[in-house]
Amino acid sequence: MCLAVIVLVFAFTPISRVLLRSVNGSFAPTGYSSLSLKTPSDGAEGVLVGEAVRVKLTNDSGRVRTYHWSALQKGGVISLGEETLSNGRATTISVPTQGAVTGTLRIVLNGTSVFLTLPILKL
Amino acid sequence: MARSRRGGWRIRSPTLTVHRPRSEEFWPSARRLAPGVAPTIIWIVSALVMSLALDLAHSPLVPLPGVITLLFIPGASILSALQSRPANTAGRLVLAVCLSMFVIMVVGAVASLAGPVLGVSHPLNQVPESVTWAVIAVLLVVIGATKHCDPVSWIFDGVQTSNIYGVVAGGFLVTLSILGVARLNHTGNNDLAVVATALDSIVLLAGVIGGWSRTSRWPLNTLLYCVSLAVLLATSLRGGHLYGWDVQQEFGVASSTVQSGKWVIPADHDPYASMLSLTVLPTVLHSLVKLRLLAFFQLVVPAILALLPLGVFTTVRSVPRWITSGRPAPRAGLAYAVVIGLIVSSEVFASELVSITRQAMALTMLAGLVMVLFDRTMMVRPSRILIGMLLVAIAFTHYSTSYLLAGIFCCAWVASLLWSKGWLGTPRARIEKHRYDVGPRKIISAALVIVALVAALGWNLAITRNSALSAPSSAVVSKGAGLVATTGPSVISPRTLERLLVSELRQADKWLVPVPGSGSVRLVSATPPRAPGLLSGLAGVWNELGFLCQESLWIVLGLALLYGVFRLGRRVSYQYSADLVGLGVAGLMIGGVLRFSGTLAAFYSPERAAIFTAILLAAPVTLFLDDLVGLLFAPHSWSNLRVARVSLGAGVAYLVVLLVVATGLGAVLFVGAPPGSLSGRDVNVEQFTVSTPEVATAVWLRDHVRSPNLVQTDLYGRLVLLSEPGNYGIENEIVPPGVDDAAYVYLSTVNLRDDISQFDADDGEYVSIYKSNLGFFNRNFFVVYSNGVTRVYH
Repeated sequence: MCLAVIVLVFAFTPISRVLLRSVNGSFAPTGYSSLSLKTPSDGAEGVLVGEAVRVKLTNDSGRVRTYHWSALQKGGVISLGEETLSNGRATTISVPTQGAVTGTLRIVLNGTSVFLTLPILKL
Repeated sequence: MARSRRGGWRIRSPTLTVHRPRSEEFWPSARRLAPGVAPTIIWIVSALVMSLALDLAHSPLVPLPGVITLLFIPGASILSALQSRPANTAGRLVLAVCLSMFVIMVVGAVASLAGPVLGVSHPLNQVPESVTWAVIAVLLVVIGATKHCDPVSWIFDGVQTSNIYGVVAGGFLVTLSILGVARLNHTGNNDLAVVATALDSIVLLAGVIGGWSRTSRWPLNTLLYCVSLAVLLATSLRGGHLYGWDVQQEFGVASSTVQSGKWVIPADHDPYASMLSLTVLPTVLHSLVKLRLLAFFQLVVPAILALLPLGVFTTVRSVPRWITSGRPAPRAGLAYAVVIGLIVSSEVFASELVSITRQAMALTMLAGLVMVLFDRTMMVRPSRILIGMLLVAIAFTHYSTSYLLAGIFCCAWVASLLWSKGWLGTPRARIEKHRYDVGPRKIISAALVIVALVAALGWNLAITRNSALSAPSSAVVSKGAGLVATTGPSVISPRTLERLLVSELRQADKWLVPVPGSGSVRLVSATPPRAPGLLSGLAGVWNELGFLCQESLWIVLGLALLYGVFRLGRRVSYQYSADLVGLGVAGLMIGGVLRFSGTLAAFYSPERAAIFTAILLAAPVTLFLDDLVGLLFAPHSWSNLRVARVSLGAGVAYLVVLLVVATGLGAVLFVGAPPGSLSGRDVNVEQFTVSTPEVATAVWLRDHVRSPNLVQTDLYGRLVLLSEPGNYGIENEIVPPGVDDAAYVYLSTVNLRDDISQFDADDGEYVSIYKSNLGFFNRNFFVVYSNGVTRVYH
């Protein structure tokens, strides 16, 4: 009996994987990607035209991902870029705002519903 | 004086002789020590080796040997040192775990308070705790050796290994339940979870039938523990984080203690942070055996709570202490049915208690306490010492349970005094004999009442000065007891909510600066997703049947107590005991007050009170039903076998209804809106589950928003913020006229995906569900954090 318990304890990982796969179950966390303003108060105070917006991009999707981001205003693209991140890593990206006008800037991760908005102010 | 060799007498000089024992006498030699406590030494060394080996193998089970050891050896050592133990091995295990928790809490609290004085700034961190517990392990072994009583053998003495089938069957049920919830979490498909729960119920009912014979050898203890654990894990593992409301805040408190590496008396008098069960206990397990906090709440607490039915079953399957009428032990199957009906089928056991972990642990201790009180094989003095320890442990674990228990002990002492004096139903002619029989055999003494009062009031009011009592007492003072039978919030329409909100804003939240034009936003009613039952046409009938069955339990409790006091105790006093009377009367009285007080129900729900009362009254109920069954099958002229069988069948049907309601199978079949453990996406899932992205958002808010900034969210969003508390103000409403212009607004997955928000008014008395007004937030705020399923506006 003791031996059986010890074998079960040490073989727990492969056994549990097989069982979970057999029922299409998982306790793995839900993957996600996130965008956030490095300085959250920018959301209220805004940035001046031409100033870069510092944005934190996080990958917790469970795999390596290449992200394509865009800064949009009134349907037009102000800037865009690409970042590749392994799982659990984060990076800060500087989003240029040259060419933007007074109003709301929308920074999006293409192909996802992850986005930020912030006000652009006149110089 | 001594006689000299020459025959005369000589006087010895007065010398002081000190007996110095040889080292072998004082410190037992290895030869003497090893056989005495060898099992305990082997256990501890094996646990260390296993942990090391699992760590090298990168197994997720690294903490397992350490957790089992810490939750068993200290308590077993106390029992062996007192040379006292319950008759049943299951009872010994329950008691060992409860006492181990007590030891861990005491050691951790002492370390926290003394550590900084001795220059150890973080006494609950890994190194100081490892040193402390190494010393304690050596001490426990030495004490065991000097007492010639090995703790491990003391608990497992007489265990038979013939119950292998019970272990295998129980393990299968637990595994199936875990797989069911894994499938539910991953795909939203509830079929396996429903099958697992149905199987759990069937096994419980089979146990009643299998254990009906007095000579049954069914492994009822193993099955009861495993089924209880399976049912609890199905709830505790639901979602990406913790399931339920209170447990989020408990996690937050534990997390703060782990980060600070010590427990301090909370300056803000927070009741949660005052409980050693939520602070010291998880932190010691985290530091010492690398147990993650999430695993403590999701796995360890259910494993402890599953001991509750086992403790009650151990109590009721034997004849209680001092009943010396020659009555045989109740049928195991009947005792099993009582535990299923009163505990496992209690409304809160399966779905709520795993989310209120402080009460889960305290109730398990209460079951251990009642077991000691009624176990006829334990001597009086050690029993009183153990009960005293458990009273203190409960005070460290849960404030409400501690207060209730102190009140119950006071009432029980008075009631048992009245009964033992013969002033409660004893015929005048028998009073003298009654007093002679009953008086000296009570366990609940004035000393224990004082311990209960000092523990509850001393710890909560004098030492930690927590605010647990202030809210309910001021509510009773301002509103009265509110003796009504209905409880729970009333759902109001958004229009009514708007009116309530306007008055609330004018009175309480004058400092809010609303967004211009927000007053013109009208709320639109919304309905959360709610799956209908498979046989929804029978929902009304089922609801009434379930309600009747659950409420009639109170009648069974009352009848059992009356039968004991006025039938058994009145005729022959040694057929009943003063402690049974005292605890029964007090438990029923306090349970009744909490059942019918609308004011107190807001702080301690009647369902939580019901399980408390059930633990105290399980023994009288079993005695009552055992006599009733005996009467049915007795060869009377008026009874026949058919009547007896029909009555038993009705009893089993009653149990089935209770079980089907409690496990949530009734909701799946008839009513709809099943509990989260049986539902992929429903009202309870939205209300009580938390996803990983939501936790990430709460962490972001904690790290980036500081006081005096304000975070606003609704009831759905509030859930996760409790587990990652930040240094910011919080307002639980996002109704547009009540949103501050400068606030951070957190919208959860339910707010965004289902376009539903929930608001409560007057401390939860009124609830309203409405559409989230996403357009309002998009127009007036900017998104500063987003992960696709949640957003933070500012």
